[in-house]
Amino acid sequence: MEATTREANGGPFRTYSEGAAIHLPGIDALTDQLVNGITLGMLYILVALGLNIILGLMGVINFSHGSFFMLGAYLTYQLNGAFKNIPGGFWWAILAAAVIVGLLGMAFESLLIRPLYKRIPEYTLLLTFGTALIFAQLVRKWWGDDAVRVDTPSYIPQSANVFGLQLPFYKDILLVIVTIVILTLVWLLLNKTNIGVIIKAGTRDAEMVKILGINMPLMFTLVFGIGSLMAGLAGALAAPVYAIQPNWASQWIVLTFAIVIVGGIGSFWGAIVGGLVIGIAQSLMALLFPPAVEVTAFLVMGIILLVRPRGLFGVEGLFE
Amino acid sequence: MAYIFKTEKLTRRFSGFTAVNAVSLEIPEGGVRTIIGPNGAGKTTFFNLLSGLLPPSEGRIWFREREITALLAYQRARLGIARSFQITNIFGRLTVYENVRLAVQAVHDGRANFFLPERRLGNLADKTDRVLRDVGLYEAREARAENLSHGDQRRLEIGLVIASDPPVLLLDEPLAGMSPAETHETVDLIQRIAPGRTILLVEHDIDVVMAISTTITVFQTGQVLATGTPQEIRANEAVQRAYLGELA
Amino acid sequence: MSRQSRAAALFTHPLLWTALLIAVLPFVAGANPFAGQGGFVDIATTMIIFGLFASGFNLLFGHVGELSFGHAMFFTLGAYVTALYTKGFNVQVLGLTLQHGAAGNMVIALVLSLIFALLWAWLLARIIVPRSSGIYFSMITLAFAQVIFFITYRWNELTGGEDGMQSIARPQIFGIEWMNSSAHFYWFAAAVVFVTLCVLYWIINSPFGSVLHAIRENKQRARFLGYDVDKFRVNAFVLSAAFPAVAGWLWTYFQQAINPDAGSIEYSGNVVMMSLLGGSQTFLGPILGAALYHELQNGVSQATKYWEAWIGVVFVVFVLIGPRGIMGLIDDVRHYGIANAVRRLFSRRARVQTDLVEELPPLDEPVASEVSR
Repeated sequence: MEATTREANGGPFRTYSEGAAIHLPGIDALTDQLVNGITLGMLYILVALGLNIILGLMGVINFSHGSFFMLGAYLTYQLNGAFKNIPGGFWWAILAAAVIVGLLGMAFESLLIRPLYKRIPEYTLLLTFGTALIFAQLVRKWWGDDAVRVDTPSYIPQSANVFGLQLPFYKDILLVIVTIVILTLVWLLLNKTNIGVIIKAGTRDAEMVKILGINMPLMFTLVFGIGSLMAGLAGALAAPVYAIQPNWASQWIVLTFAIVIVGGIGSFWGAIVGGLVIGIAQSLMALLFPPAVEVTAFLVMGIILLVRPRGLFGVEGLFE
Repeated sequence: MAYIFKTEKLTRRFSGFTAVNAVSLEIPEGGVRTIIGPNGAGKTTFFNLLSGLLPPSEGRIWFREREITALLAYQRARLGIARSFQITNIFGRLTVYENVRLAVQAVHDGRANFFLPERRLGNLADKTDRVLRDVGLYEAREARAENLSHGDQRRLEIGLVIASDPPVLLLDEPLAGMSPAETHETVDLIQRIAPGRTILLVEHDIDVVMAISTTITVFQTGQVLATGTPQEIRANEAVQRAYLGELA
Repeated sequence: MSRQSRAAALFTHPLLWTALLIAVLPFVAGANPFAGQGGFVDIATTMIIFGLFASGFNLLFGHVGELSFGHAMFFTLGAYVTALYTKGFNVQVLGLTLQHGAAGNMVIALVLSLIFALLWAWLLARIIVPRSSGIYFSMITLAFAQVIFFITYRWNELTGGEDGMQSIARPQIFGIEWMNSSAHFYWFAAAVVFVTLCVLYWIINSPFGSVLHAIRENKQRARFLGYDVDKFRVNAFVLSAAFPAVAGWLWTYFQQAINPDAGSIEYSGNVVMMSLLGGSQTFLGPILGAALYHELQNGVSQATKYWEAWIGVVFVVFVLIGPRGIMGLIDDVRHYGIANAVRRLFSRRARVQTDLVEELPPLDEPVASEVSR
């Protein structure tokens, strides 16, 4: 982390106030932070599920996943500007950013990850760490070190009243609804379509699927593309909520690792529960003891590891 | 008679499939005790349960009057239960010498200071050389284990198993994939190391089994079908129906 | 052993080459012969301190085959403990006042650094090692390193937060400020690094070290020989934390300042890169790698402020075609000649053969195959 870009106030933790004293929260503040935690959790779920799908189905750990998340946000920023005269341009920008990141992921997999399949999984971690360094610098070069912002279009209301709570409309309502829709679609894709069945079978017994005449490398590229697309989409959706900075990638990737470990490697429901647990834990810590917000995720992870070494939904012996 | 292993209702299930089904068995001390049976009969799983590679789903195991059901693999190895594997299992990128020395040195784990120079750990080198001569690999001591021929690798693994002078050897198909000449040498080797130990053997080469076994136990679908001397097994009708018939 | 082979063994002895490298570095590090410019002592100091850091990391990576992606936590612990001991502190924790005045005894600073780093390492090892290996282990170490990073980053009162601590005095020797010269400090650091590396060399070549190699090659086999594999892995983890702590201790004195970057993911990643660059399965590799890394960084950072991208490129290239690093290449040239060594670089089979860990089926696999047959 460069000294110049290390400002933590623009990242996922922007929403707490500074101050080191422990103070007991009121009930309003508690509700606020709970809602905040759920919103944060939604983004965590999207990023973590993308990583977990790739990890669970392919056994590949992608350190550049955070970079894809960051690219999704920057591309949304760029495209939102370019599309500003098109009706619904904001939404097209989000969609286009996600698709571009998905395609980038597919290219990335076939060029760089594929040569490593026969080798130990540590090498993919190392390779993608290297590419994360490259992505971070490219982003700095193109978009600069300073934070950029994306404004939601004026037709999206600023806030809305839900059960007597006045909530920011985009961040706390739309984002949650969109995430739930996406998660449903992914679940259907994995469990109810042919592609999902083939992918699952192929990752368990690649030989068998090959005998059946299915192009497994293509399937792997597709899985990687879907996972990357989810990271890009999460970044795109996060773009209007937080100030976008080149340090997003490294901040998010480590958090994502913690979420995946809490939820359990390779588990769909694990990513969802893990994302929510970490998001809510962080937001509550922001109320209780703000300086400890960033550490919270890792403390939760430590506790989970002690109690359930494979995470909440994990399976024994996977990827070791 | 003193037993080396005793099992009581030993069972191992894998997601719905029962590989070893309530096996209660006493294996007497000494001699070559061979387990045969068709593929999938649970022989290797039984080995894995005895040596601690797998925990049993149910049942208990004793080793010389001592219950070992809960002991981990390395603890059983320290009691003197040594095993080889169906798929050659050696330290591929270490030299032959290093492979055997590690096996010899294992005896000192927990007792001697491991940061001392090698020469302070007793006469490791002498012992290592002796084991290398026993298995006929002294000339190849500087070669990397992965570069040995298949037969030599199998013999190296037997070397690893006997290096710590264990009272019990579990050999899982030691002759698999060997040429006739290699088979002959290895059978000689097994007979040479057998005196004073108990050797548990899983083997498919029926001629060898008949020639060297003290007793034979026949497994079928996870259960013991029969136990007896080679002559008794040969004469056993149930065994012939289930197993020998299909081979002969 | 004949006299000739004994001489050859001496000539190829890694510690001899380590000593040579350390002796030469201040004259060549960052040098530009075309501009008539000699070496920079400060770059050389950075190189050897990171050489020590990377070598300690590599005890785990190259010799046990476990990739820790969080070793900067031990480096930063050593560095911060030294800084805090030297500068003193006064903080309130849960109503208790913790305070300590400024002090200058470098031996006490070293001992404290080691105690903290080793205690933390032991605690982590007890949690992590029996529960994980492979990439799971890498992810968990990475995540736990963030705990230390964020403590140094957020605990403003104690650590100075993001800005860290400045004007930390270098130790005096018998009341003389001998170390204030860059060159003097280099030779002090060189002596410490060399002695510590000798200890590491002894560990690697002891019976303990050969068990680590056995575990790297084949955990299952090691277990069935009677080795308590997890115990060895825990001990190796704790030992490998000691060397970064010593490096961190030197780093604080060298920089006379410290900030949270010392415990960042980038630092953890950089030592992985150094080991990989130099050759992780050799003793000299990480030290050579640390020197090459900083030489590269020094060169590229003068050309572009986006130099980290080029470090990333080197990372990618080395993972893809040369995972055995420079020392591996030298080895291949000695064994196969230049032409064949280059050919091996592009041979996928050779790469798979030289991978760190054996590709044995997981523990339950033999059973599965028995079932299916």
